[in-house]
Amino acid sequence: MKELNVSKPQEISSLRCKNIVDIYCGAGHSFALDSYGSAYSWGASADYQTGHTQNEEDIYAPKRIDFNILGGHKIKNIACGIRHTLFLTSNHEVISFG
Amino acid sequence: MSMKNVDYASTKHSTQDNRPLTDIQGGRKLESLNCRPFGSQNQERHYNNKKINKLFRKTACGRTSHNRTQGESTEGSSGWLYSWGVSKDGVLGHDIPEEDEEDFRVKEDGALVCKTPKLIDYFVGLSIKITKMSSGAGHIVALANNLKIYSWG
Repeated sequence: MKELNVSKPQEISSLRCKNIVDIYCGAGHSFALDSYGSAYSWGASADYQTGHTQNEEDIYAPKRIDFNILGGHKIKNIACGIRHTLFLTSNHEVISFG
Repeated sequence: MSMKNVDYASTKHSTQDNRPLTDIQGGRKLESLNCRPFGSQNQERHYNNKKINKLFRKTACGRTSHNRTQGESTEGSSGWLYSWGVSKDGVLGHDIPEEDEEDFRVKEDGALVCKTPKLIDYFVGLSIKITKMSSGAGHIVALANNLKIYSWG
């Protein structure tokens, strides 16, 4: 992993005005949930824990989750493990990846 | 885990402290067993077992590769963010002193440890209150009342 440590808080400007209502961290990956039920993820992605299908080790900027993996449903809640992630969707299904 | 909840009702408070809490820490006061690995019998690491005399609304714990913990918390009513624990990769979000300071201690392996919750003054300077935050192994993401997302670590 590329070392990009910062010791002072930095704004993630690409998430500005996206109506983010909650945030979740795994060991090396992060999710932001917006008020419309879609999510953005970034960070460590070697085990596909960010939910993006392309094979990248790290994702450096937040990327929106493809609604196809959710079957068109909204995300109600997210839980991040060390290297996996769970979505609770609006139709009460649990989606796991990573 | 480095934190233990004590029953709010069974602890004594001054009147100004005695206000209701919200969220997952509701009705409870935080006691820090800072930097003590869970289940450890090694009392030398258990150097900061004292109650944190602030009422917190939300807490999050990270974890370093050495299995020590760091904590970050928002205070009950103000929304200011505090952090303490192992200072590694900038996870604590505040300036690290170059000289010896009372709040800090250097571990055997050279890592700097912040012993008591320290206000992250970056947000205070900008008058930004934190509404949500989450902590990874080496990074923290926080959602502020200005609806902006901040990350460090």
